[in-house]
Amino acid sequence: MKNRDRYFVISTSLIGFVTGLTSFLTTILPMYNVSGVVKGIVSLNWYYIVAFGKTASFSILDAISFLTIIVNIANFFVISSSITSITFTLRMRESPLIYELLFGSSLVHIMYSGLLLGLFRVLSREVVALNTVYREITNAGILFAGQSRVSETIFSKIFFTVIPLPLILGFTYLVFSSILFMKYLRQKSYT
Amino acid sequence: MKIREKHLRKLFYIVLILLLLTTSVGRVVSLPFFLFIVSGRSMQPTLYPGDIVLAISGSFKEGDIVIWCTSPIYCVAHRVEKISGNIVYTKGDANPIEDPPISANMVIYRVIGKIPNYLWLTPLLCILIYLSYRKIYVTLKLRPWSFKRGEPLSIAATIVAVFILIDILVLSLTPLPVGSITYYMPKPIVELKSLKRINCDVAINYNVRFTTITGVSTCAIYVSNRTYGCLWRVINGRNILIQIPGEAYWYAYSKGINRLNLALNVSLKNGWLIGNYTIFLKWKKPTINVEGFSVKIHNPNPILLNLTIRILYFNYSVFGTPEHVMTQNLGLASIAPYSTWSYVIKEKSAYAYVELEYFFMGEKVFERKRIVFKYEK
Repeated sequence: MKNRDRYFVISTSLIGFVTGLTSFLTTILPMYNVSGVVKGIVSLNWYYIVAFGKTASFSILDAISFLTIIVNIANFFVISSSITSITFTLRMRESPLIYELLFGSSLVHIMYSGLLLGLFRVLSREVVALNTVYREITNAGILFAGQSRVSETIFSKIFFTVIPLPLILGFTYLVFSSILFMKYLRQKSYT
Repeated sequence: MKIREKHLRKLFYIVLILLLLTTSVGRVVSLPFFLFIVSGRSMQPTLYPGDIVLAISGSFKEGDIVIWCTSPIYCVAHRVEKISGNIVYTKGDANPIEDPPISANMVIYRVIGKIPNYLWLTPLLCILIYLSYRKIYVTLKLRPWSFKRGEPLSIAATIVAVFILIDILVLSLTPLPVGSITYYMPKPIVELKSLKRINCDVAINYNVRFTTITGVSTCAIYVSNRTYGCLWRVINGRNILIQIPGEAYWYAYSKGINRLNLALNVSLKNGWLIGNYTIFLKWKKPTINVEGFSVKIHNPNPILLNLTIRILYFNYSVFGTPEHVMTQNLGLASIAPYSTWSYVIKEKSAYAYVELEYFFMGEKVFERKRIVFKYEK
């Protein structure tokens, strides 16, 4: 393997590592802050909400947390593939496994990015519902139970901009790994 | 040795397939036995996420944990709170409020036991870690060149295929519940249970959930165009006793008004309640009873009844006509609300008349009762 190719493999692996790590951080860092009569922090993988002085659990958020676990399995696979490729390259071992792993993991990441974005959209839709005034009309009169406000955290603003960061990184990783894989295929056809 | 291993592997696959079939088919068709993996926290501390629930089909009663499904991908294991005919009310132990009522036909299984997550997840993870380590070690350390023999894209395609399979399996088996997040919110609920007038006071009984009544910031009585303040007392954090001022009653009584409007601003532990209630009044005339030589006047209204009482004593003349003997003016008597005033009349003649004068709903009323001391022979 030429030095130039080795650097390219390492840089692709590093992009993969950053991509996997970013996606993982996206799932564990708090995305929404809830304040008011309902207080708490919500991230994709976990949440802590205290509603009217009681810790509350919500089946929809539990389901999102559960589904995020498989996104994280994919993220760990991307991270471990990148580490494996870096280790292989640094040990001067040339194996087709590097190209296969990087290309395969980049495809897996793109596939799971869709799921991640979908889960984030569901989470946003549900959490935004907490941005409300708790007012109810019963036979006792008009009940005002206060107000809760939902605000995005800095992580939400960073990771989920117009084009979400995990998706940008995922595409970059896919482009790099594809170039690498094409090179490998070309090499294979020559030999 | 190899044959035994082969058989064991076969047995393992058969058990795995049977388990998968039980967990997936059992959601659509009622099987005698069913396995269910808990994914939510609604049944804590009884069931935790990852616990395998063992269930059987059959009858169930209140207090049992049952599994009901709205669709093959959405099944719930919750405790039966109440059974009312064909309607079943279930609730998660950790949920603040009940689930929407369901038909008894939707309940497929009754839970009979569980395998805690640590009993099956920990060994499984250990086996997986061990197998992965062995595979990775062999692949990366000892035989990395072996991949040169493989077809291009074979590993990448396998990886993608495996992850697609995981994705489909998990997405199809994980329920995404419908309904808003605010449904299971332990929001304060205050409902009017009863509003009763106890003598002059009004007792308001509320059905209070997830909050308590701490006080009353505004208490006002509206009668026609007049406003009166009222005193209040909170009992047990869910009942309020309102003391309606006598002036309000008196004004309503004097104008012949049959209802009072009560405006309350109730302070709750979490928030406040604005309530407007109508208190209906039924004004009754005082009742006058003569028992022997005593006169008893009962005031059935929540007002101080003022009446003028006088006693006219009569005798019979020789011609049999009434002959006025004397008049005893008892003056103005005030009878407290819902109390009885009594007076024993002394025998001063053959008979007497007790005359009462009072105002009833703005109109002057005159009433007379006869007391006979001596009967004519």
